[in-house]
Amino acid sequence: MANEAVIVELLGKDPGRPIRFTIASATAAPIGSVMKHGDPRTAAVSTADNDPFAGILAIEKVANQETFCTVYTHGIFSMTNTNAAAITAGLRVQIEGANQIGVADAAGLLFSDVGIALEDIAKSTAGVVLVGSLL
Amino acid sequence: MANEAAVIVELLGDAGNPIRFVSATNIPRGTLCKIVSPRTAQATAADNDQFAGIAAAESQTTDSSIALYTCGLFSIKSAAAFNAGEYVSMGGANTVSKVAAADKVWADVGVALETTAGADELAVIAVGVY
Repeated sequence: MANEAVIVELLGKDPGRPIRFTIASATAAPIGSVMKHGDPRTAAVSTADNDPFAGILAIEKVANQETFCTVYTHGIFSMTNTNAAAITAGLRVQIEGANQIGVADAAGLLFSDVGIALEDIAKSTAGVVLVGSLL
Repeated sequence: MANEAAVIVELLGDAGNPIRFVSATNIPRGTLCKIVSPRTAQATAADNDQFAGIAAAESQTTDSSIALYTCGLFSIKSAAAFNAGEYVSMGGANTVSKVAAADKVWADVGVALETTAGADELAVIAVGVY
């Protein structure tokens, strides 16, 4: 799969604020995959617009091996914009496709979004995003 | 108070990123607290109360402050159904429900990591993470 997120800087007292989730044993996913929430407390690779964001995969997941994964939830990452529209710095972004982001819309703000764009990101290019709560 | 004690699953950040608030009421440990001015925590009571954090320790009426956890995974009771991945906000005293568009202008509680079918179910909520 293409367009995996790339770490720019991990933030927080526990760098990246990693969280462990269950994941299907058969899943194979490279480091940097943009993951979505599933029930119960499960992560899967993002596939579509409005997928609720769980985090960035911290370690490669090999098919038919472990049934857990760790995702980063706080940091600055280089992520890929879809081919729909440019993103302006400061806007909240959401999952728009497999490993891709776009400007968060009203419906997207009811689900876990990805974070805030730290720079203008043109269509089909990568740019820097702040992931995780600003609390 | 009914439905008290949000149960800690995992504290994140700096051991839950505790923040101190003014308090002049009795608040049991684990209570979901709301913000009132100035920088004061009170036990939640109603739908859409603005979330401040989860009481880290019991506060007595003779105390003047309380620390609230603001970052971690907590098991909290539902006031209505919601899906994993959806934002949740205060649904009543110590309960959470799915956020509506209008709720996003207030401080919400966090993101549900589990799905509930209705009220009175426990679900793990990621507070202060997303």
